[in-house]
This record gives sequence, structure tokens and C-alpha cells, in this order.
Amino acid sequence: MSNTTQTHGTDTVDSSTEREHTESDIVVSADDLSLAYPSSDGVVVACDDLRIPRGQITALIGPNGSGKSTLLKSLSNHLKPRSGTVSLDGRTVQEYDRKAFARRLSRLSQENDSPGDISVEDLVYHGRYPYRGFFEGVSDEDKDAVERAIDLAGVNHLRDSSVKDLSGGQKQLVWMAVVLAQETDVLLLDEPTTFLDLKHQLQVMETIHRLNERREITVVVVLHDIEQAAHNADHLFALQDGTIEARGKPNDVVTEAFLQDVFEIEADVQYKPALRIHPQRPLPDE
Amino acid sequence: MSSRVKTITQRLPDRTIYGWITPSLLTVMLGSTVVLVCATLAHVSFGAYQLTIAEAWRGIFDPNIIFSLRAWQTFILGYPLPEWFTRTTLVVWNIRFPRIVVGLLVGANLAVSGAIFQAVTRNELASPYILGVSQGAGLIIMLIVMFFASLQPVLPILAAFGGAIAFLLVYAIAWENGANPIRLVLAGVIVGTVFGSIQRGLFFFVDDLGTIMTARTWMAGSLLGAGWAQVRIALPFSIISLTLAVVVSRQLNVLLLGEETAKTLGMSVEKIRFGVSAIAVLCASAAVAVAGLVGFVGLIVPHMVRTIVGSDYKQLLIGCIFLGPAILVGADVAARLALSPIQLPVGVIMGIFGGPYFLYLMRKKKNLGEI
Repeated sequence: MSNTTQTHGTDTVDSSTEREHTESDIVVSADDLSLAYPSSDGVVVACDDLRIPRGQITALIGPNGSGKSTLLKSLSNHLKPRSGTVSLDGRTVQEYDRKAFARRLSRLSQENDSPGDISVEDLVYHGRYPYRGFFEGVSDEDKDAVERAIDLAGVNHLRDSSVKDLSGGQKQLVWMAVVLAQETDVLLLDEPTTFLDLKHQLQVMETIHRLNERREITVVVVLHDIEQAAHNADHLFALQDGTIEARGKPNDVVTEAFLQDVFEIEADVQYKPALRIHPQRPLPDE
Repeated sequence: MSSRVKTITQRLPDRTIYGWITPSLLTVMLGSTVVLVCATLAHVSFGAYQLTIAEAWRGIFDPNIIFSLRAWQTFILGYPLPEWFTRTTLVVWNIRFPRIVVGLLVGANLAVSGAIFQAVTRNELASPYILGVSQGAGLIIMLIVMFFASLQPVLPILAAFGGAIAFLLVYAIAWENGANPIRLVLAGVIVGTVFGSIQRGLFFFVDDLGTIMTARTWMAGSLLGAGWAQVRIALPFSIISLTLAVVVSRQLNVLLLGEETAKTLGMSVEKIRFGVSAIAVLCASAAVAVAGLVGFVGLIVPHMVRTIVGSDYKQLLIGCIFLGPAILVGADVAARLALSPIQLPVGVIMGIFGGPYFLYLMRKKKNLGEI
């Protein structure tokens, strides 16, 4: 299973260029990873090596249930691997002190709860949790970070609203602001655009680019939409049944053969002027 | 739109230490204080020993007592009664007033305890009574009252062990990939019932009728006969636990965001949950130690405060510290005066009004129990 399907020839090429990255270019890595949930025996994700390049946008794509969210959970130390290691800058994630880790890496999950009557600004201030001591109040640094986060996420006009009055898309942007206030070098986003209307999808993607450009933040984002992933990411990982089936530059990864193998659809792929996928029909279930 | 305007007016003007006092919190604080003062004045004015209202009020506002170090040493530290205490002083300050103080501590502790449990379980239906913590603490207290009377001064600490055991049991029973609100309440009811049965069973091992009467009143949750001795038992633990509760309010706010988010923000969720639960157990135990099993205060008060001041825990806890005493003391005094000379335990009153309130909460909430 771990051997990637060689039909996407590009795959081998790109892994070799990846190996040329020096260690310092890799910010998050996973080795011999095997992930499972405590409640069941089945291994959900098995991946030999995963290297997330520093300062780039990496997208995880794959069909439903392929283990994208699970993989992301293990990278953020929310799910302890059954075996194997996840490292952030050379140290395994379990070695880090919780707050120190939260200052380096943050993850926005697919669904987020908050008490309804909290104001947007108050919620964003919670993003400063890892920087504040048990008894400490709010420092000027915290205030600045919150302002920057609100600005980057583009939610300035919402800051005094209460979270319960917001639409799904606005909520997503507000939660982006919360994780941005954490001011981490690595940001993991779990399907930030699913369920959003197009305008909010574009706003979320714009925010990701702004972050990546202005602060050189490494972004790992799970995306449902292959085209969206291809347009926005520098690097793609495609998962199928818990294993990485393809990796590399979007135009190299997304091919008609790839869509047949991984997504089980017949589709035409057009590369110019921009990558476009024209789905034709689903392949019959085996 | 109106709710949006409301949030704006409620917003913190600036995040200074005192920025959290909002108009709605101030309303709760002032309203509660008015109720407390009225209840206190009514309470000290009437009783078995006949005093005119003027005499009673002159007695309670007597500057010779209020500003007398020696008098407070008697009340708080248990020094012998000074000989210069007049009869009125004795009745007003030594017999009637301490019941108010005990009620105040009990109300504040139960309300804060309930508010904390609601954050820990993220469940609006949680309270020390419903989670079985009160009964756990109660069992230990009953054992001490019946068999180890010499341990009375450290009652709240020992009671806290009972409360903690009950809470851990409830959590363990309810746990199934996380503790869901309904399972928690059910587990709490089960553990509470078992502990309550053991308490009633203990009656049959005691011969002394007086002890049984005390124990029965206590099980019903009563301030009857509460004096400065009870204040001395509950006060130190109340000060510690209530202060700690306010200190950890920001942690409680982050807990409300859910386990996953709290973890992402760098919180050691299990440790914090354990720590704040310990504070809540201590609060409940201090209350149960002096007033017995009073239900529903820990459920109703946080809910009332939440609807007025919102769910920010600093404001919520401070609101609880004011409204809890007002409700408990108000109910106690009202019941005592309305049904005089019969003295219904305040636990009975809270049950009569608290049960329907609980039902109302159940009917009103779409997502039962979720904060």
C-alpha cells in the first residue's frame, strides 16, 4: 500500500527533489506514522514519510474518509500516533511543553463551538492563551497581535458583534483570526472552505495567501475542492484510504489518471490558462 | 439588531483590571445587595425573643459592635463572649445574625460550585447536587456527625474527599468517548441516590434520638440553628475556594470553547479540568458541611446570572457570589417569616421552586444542557 502508484510518473521525480531539501527547509515531518482512534482497532492512516516544506502552502486532498483530518490531528498533537513520530523542527510534538507548542503551531478544526454571546474581539483574545501566564492580564503585545489578526482575517467590521449573530462564513473568518492571534509559524486548517459560499471561500483563501506572503507562515490546509487546492497550494498531498498516493506540484499531481485512481472519477483535465477539471462520470464501485 | 446593540454596550471599554464591571453585572450586584440587606433586617427583627423593630435595628447597627475588634474576635475566632454584650446584642448579633452569614456563604459557594461544574462539563444542567457531589460530601459529613464528632473543625476538607469521590465516580460512569451532558446527569442521579440511601441507612446504626433529629434536619438542608460556629467552619474554605474560582475564570472561559480548541490553544485540558473541579468540590463541601443538602441553588443561580450578564466567567462568577446569597438568604428568611412558627428547611423551599425551574430549563432549551 505504501508504494505510490507509479502511473503518475511525476511523483517519483518530485519526491527526489523533495529529498534535496535540506533539513531546515522542512518544518513538520512524520515518519512511519500509523494512526488509529482509541475506540477502534483499524488503522486509519499509515504514512511512511511526510515532509511539509517551510514557508509554503501545502494542501491535503483526497476523497471522503481518506484520513486527511486524522492526519492533521496527529500533526497538531491532538491524536497520539499508534506508532511512528511527528516532529516539528526536529523535535517530536510530544516533547514540547503544551503552551510552547501552541506558540509554534495551531490548528483550526472543521467545526468550532463557542458560547453564543461572546464578542468577536473577546473570542480573538483567547488566541493569546499560550502567551499569557496563569495570573497575567493582557499585555500590549497581546493587543497588537489581536489587532494584526483581526486585520489579516478581515473581520474588523465584525469585532463588536456577538458570535451568534454571524453567518457560517463570517464565523470561519473569525475563527481564522483566533488562530492567527496565536502567531504561530505553522498553521493547519481543516477544510476551512467547506460549507461556505463562494465569496467567503475566496476570502478565506485570500487570508491564507496574505499570511503566507506577509509572515512566511507555513500553511497546511485540507481542501475538498481539487481545483481550489491546485490553484492555491504550492504543494499537494493526495490521500487515499489512509496512505499518501501522490505528492508534488499541483499540475504534476492532478492528471486524468490520478483522478481515476484516487477519486474514482472519469474527468478531463485542462492545464491552460489555469488548471480546470471537467468531471464526466463516476467510475463504477468495485 | 437589538442584541447587537446590547453586545456593543456590554463590551469592555478597555481591558483594564476593572473593565469587567458592566452595567448588567452592576445591576445584579446592587439588586442582590438590596435583597440581602432587606432580608437581614427582616430576619433580625423577628424571632422567639420579643424585640421591637427599633430595638433590633439599633442593635444591628450598633457601632460599638460593628467597630469592636473584641466582638469580631468572639464571632470569627471563637473568643468567649464579652460581659458587656447587652441582651439585645446577644439576640441580634449572636443568635439571629450568624444565620444570615452562614446563608451568605452557603449561597455563594453553591452558586459558584454550580457555575464551575457547568463549565467543566459544558452542560447547563450540571450542579453539585445533580452531579452527586453534595451527596458524596454529605455521606462523609453524616459519618463524622454520627461517629467522629471530634473531627468537626476540618469538616469541609473531609467532606471534599467524599465530594471528589462522587464526582470521579460520576465522570467515570458517564464517560464514553467524552462525557455527554445527559449521561452525566443520569450518572449523577444514580450516584447521588446510592450515597443518599447509605446516609439514610446510617440512621439505623445510631441510637441517640437527638443525633438522628440533627441528621434529619441536616439532610433536608437547613440553616436552623446556624451560628458563628458554622461560620468559623465554612469561612476559611469559602474564602480560599471563592478567590481561586475568580482567579481561574479565564481558564473556564477557554474550557467553554471545547476540549479541542482549548488544547490547540496550549491548555493542559485534563489538568485544568481536574484543578477547577477540585475548587468546585471544595466550594460545595464547605456549603454542605454547614447547611446540609440544599439542592438547585447551584443550578438556578448560574443560569439566572448567565441570562443577565452573559457567559463570560469572570462576570458570571462575581454575579453568582452576589445572587447566590440573595436567593438562599431570601428564601430562608421568607420561609421562616411566612410560616412562623414552623421553620421549613431552606433545602425544601429550594426544591419546591428549583424543580419546576429545572423543568422550565429542559423545555426551553433546544440543545438540552449545552451552554
